[in-house]
Parts: sequence; structure tokens; C-alpha cells
Amino acid sequence: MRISPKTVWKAFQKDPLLPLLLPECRTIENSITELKWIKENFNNNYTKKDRLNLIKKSCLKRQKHYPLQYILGDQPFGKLDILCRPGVLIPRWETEEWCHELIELMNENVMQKSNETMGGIETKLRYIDLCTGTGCILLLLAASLNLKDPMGIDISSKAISLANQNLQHNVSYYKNSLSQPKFLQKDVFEMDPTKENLPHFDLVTSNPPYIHDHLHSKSVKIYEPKLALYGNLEFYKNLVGKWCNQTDSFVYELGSIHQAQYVRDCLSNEEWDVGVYKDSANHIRCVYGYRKKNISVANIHWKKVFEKFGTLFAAKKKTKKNT
Amino acid sequence: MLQRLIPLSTKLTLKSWPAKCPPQVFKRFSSFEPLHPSLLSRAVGYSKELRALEAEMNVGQTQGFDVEKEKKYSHLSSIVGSLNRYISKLEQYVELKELISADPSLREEAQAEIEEVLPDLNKSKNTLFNKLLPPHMFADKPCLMEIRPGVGGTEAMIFAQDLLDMYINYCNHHRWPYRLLSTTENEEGNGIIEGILAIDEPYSYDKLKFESGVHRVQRIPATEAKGRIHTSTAAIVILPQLQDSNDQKSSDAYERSFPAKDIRIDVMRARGKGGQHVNTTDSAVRITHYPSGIVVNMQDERSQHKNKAKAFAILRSRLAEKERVEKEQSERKARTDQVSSTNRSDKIKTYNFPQNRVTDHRCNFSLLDMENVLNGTKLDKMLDEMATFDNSEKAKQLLAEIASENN
Repeated sequence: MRISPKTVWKAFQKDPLLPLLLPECRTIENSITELKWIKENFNNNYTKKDRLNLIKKSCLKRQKHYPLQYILGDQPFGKLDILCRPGVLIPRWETEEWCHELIELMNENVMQKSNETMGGIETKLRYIDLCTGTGCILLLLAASLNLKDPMGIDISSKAISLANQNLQHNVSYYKNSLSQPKFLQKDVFEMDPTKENLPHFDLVTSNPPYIHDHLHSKSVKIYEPKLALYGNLEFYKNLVGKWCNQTDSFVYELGSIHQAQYVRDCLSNEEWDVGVYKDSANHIRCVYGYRKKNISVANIHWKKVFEKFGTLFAAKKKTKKNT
Repeated sequence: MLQRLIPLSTKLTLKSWPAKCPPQVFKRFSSFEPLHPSLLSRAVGYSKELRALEAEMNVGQTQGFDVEKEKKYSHLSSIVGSLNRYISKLEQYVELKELISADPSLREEAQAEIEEVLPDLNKSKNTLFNKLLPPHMFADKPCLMEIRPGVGGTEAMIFAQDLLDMYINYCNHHRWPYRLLSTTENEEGNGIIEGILAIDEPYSYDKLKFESGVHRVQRIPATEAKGRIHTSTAAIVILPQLQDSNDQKSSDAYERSFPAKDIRIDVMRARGKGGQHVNTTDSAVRITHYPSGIVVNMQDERSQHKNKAKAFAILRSRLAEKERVEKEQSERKARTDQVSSTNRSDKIKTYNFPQNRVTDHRCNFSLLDMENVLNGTKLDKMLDEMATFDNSEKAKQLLAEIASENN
């Protein structure tokens, strides 16, 4: 939608830089907040002249739909601060939201058993994050849960190096844990979990490229990596074909219902419960699933975890029911 | 202790004074009034309770540490400590007085000594008295301060900014940790439309609670061309902080404590499909709490999640304060008396710049030092004055309560 000249003029009267932010922010209010963030970012480390120049340049970039997170260099993600660079997808608030939800529910439902009764068996969860990008999902989960050798996989070398930087950037959260998050550069399609000497996982998460229809946002279309955006069923096929044999549960972000339906249809009703998660803007955002019977030794009750997470698909295919 | 007290209070009944003492002596002594007997008996009751608790704790020593008991113990022992101090001073005083009536030749000396004892006696009486007052339910909490301009347009916004600066200075002066949760600047950028300051110091709520209310300013505004004096106002609300808004876990737990039908959370409605399709920077969150009608907006943070946590912290504080005010009001209605100190509707303070004067209208206290009040160094004087005033008001209430209990 076009911004009216009246709005532009009004914005200009408040601050000559504001009209530059309008194309992305749409309203004057949002532009003011964004300008405040930009000004805060270029703070005392610069001389006054440099500072003004940088602010102006940032606003000019913003006018061309350049993402704010690439300008400022980071994006808060839960308690973490995730660095952002061109070439790697910026973490979205929807992802942050479901990660928090998941962490909260998992923390509530990890069954507490003393080491004695477990006979010394490792009780930490084994977890892998595919298409990890900035590493945000993995790092947040690893910072909040007790995990065993959490691992992140991405095909892009840029993503892997940025993820490692993010690990260093937030290192204070991992100092105490014995198993640090690890990032590996690998092609998920060519990986064969059974042959790579990987353990049986408790949880697989992923935010794979899932845009298969038209992309409207100029900012995303021009500046964010296509590799991380465009895809349809490839990764879900990969999930049900390979990873499901290697894990007790999974959470995959997605763009539309047919991707979730595909996953449901491919998995057997006897072994798997599958459901969808809706974000607070009421869009379908995730497909999740868990084995009805745990294979792994870890003490977590997946059914209870996911009970409040979203809505299960009914046992009969293609009909949805509220649980 | 009671055995010590009973003879004292019989010797010290007010009515017997004028008869025994010559008029001019009574006049000089009239600066001391013994504590009301019913209050004293209450204090004695506390000392009994303390002894019982002590015995109990000695028995339970092997069972470890009970925080609640420890708290109660320290509370009681501080009351009993000041009670003992008061009694010893009182004994001294009574002895001296007896000496005067028994031996007129020593009168001069005894009187001089009484003059010395009196200030101590009064002081110990006041401390004991304050400790006997019921403590405020949020007294130990850190606080949230919300500042909004009232009437007066831009000048009011500038004044709101000045007030915010004053409290920040005050925090700096005391080295209290604080966070600026959110500020919304006005269009000109010289004042604020709303400011929320979180002061993370325990007991700061107790210290600042009387700042709640309408603050009035009289000065020639910077925006005034003709040099006329304007009057404008800003409103301040002090809320107890019940949780650390940075603590993710507790805020999530708090969020879950609301039934879903009572609360509505609005976030940015993404155009289109959201997720990877758009990269929005709009992280504003609005929480509506239906039963109370409270609406909290928060957009300061770049993370929507943090905005939500902050908004919930503010909602929690507002609800708690609302509950407290309602409780206080219902109690007051029962007693049908009015305490002006917590009344929000009236102006509570005036900042008069031409006269260099800050006045608290509730206790009628003026300070002729605008600069030092605004930079936070002399604000304490105003606050203390108000606290003393409130204590004396509360004392009247307490005495009335006791009187009605006895009847």
C-alpha cells in the first residue's frame, strides 16, 4: 500500500530522517521507535559527526528495504543476543515464540529421577537442529535445557561461521555445561543419520526453507538468502524418510497447512502423534510429532510436553479436531 | 517486664501530675507524654511472643533454618529492643522525678539531669511507637514509577521529563540500581508522554510511595514567549515491583496464572503469512486484562518476547497496587475516617520556580531549595517529612482502633 504524502510530510516535520523509514515501518509511530533504536546503536563510541553520518546512512539503507538487523548487526532472541550478517536468515519473532513455548513445556515435563534409579545412565536429552542458520534455535535451547552434545547442521559456510560466532558471543550461557553446542557444515539431503555414527535423538528441530508461493516483502526478497527461504516439501520428505527413524520427537517450522498434512500422512498412526502449532498471530507455524512409545532412555514425557503446545491431528486422516 | 511496668505507669498517670508538681515545672516537663498504656501492653505482648519463639527455636535448632521464623524473630526482637530502651529511660526519668518531690534541695541538679534525659526518652518513645505501627504490605519491595503529564500541554510534558530526571538523579544519589523500562517522547522531543522507571532497590517502594499523586509546577515555561507564569501538572504512580522483569521464568509462570478468558495479548498483526515471509521490526505488545480493565502497551524492546515480559511485570504491579488501594479503602470505610495522605485526586506537591520553593501540601512542608530537590540530593528531606506525618496520622488511627477495641 502506498504511503500518503500527508503522512510523509508529517513525519518529515518531526524528524527529517523519519520519511526514510516509512516504507518499511508503515506508520510514524513505528518509525520513531526504529529511529530510536538506530540512534541508540550508534552511541558514544563515535564522534558526533561520524554518528550523524552513520545514522543518516542507516536510514538511507532502510529506505531501500535493507533489513534493520543487518544494519544494527544483531537481533535479541529470548535471553540471547544473536548476531546477524547478510547471507544468513534473520531470526523471526515467531521462531522465538515457539522456542520459548517448547522450552517452558520441556522444563516442566522432564521427569526427575535420581541417578540411583537410573543406574548411571545418561539422562540428558540428545538434540540436533537442522538448517540452523544463525544457530538461534539451538543456542536458545542449549542455554535453557540440559542437553547432551547439541548439534547444529547447515549447508552454508557463512551460516556455520556466524553460528560459531554467536556461540562465542553468548558463551556465558554455556560455560557451566560440559557439552558445548557444535556446528557442522553438511548437506542435510546427503546426510544419512543411520550411517553417520549419530546417536538416537530425543528431539530434532528445524526452520527449513518453506516458502513455495509468492514472496511479497521486498526486504526479504532482495536482501535475505534465497537458500534459506525457498522450498516446499523437500525437507519434510527428508524428515519423514530419514530423521524420524532416528528420533523420538521433532518440531519443524512451516509456512502452510499442506506441509503439516504431508508429514501426518507419511507417518504411521500407530507409532506417531502429529500436531500443528499456531503462533500468536494465529498462523500455522510448526508441525510437531512424537513417538507414542519412547525409544530413547531419556526421562521426558513427550505427550505431556506437546499437550499444551498445539493441536493434534485426529487419528483419522484429513480431519482436524481440538484436543 | 510487666512487674517493672505496672508501678511505673501507676506513678506516671497524667492526671496526677499537675497536683504533685508546681505549675512551672509541669510546663517544662509537658514536652514528654508517656506512651499510651494500651500500646505499651501491646509491646509487652510482643516480648512474650518473642520469648515463646525463642524457646521454640532452641528446641528446633537441630532441624535447621526456618526463614519465616527467622524473619519473625528479627522483627520481634527489634521491637522488644526498643521497648527495653524506652523502659530504662523511663525508669531514669521517674526516679529523677521522685527525687525532686522527695528532696527539694536536689531539685536544681535533678532538673538539669531530666533535661538531658528527655530528648533520649522522646526519641526512644518515637522509635518504639513507629515499630508498633502495622508495616506496609509492600514495604520491602522495589518499585515501579510511572510518570505522565497532566494539564498544561507541552509544558506539562517538559515537567514530566524534569520529574523523571529528578528521580533518576535521586537513584544515582543513593546508588540505587534502576532501569528505564519505557519512555515515549513527545513530538517536539523535549518532554515525555509517558515514562516508566523501575527502581530495583528493596524498600524503595516504602520510601517513595508518597510520591504517588499529582505534582504541580508553577514557572515561566521555556515555550512561553511573553514571560507569563504557567501552572501545569504531572501525575506519578508508584507501584510495587513483585518480580524482576528480567527473570524469564517467573514472568512466564505469571503469564500462565491468568485464565485465558481474562487476558488478551495483541501483537503485530503480520501482513500475509508471517514467518520467513516477512521480517518485521515492529515488536509492540498490548495486554488487556478484562476483569480490571487495565491495558498495558510496551514497544521499547526489539524483542517481542521481552516486551511481553515487561508488560506482564507492569500489569502485575498495577493489579497488586489496585488490590491494595481497594483493601485500604474498604478498611477506611469501616472506620469512616479519612487519611488524606493516600488520596490521589488532589495535588500533593507544588514546585514553584519563581519562589524557589517545593511544598508538600499534605504535611504542609516547604523547602526553599529547588535546585537541590531537582538534582535529588534534598528530596530525602521532603520524603522524610511526609513519612513522619504519615506515621503520626497512622498513630492516631491506631489509638482510635485500640480505643474502640477496649470499649
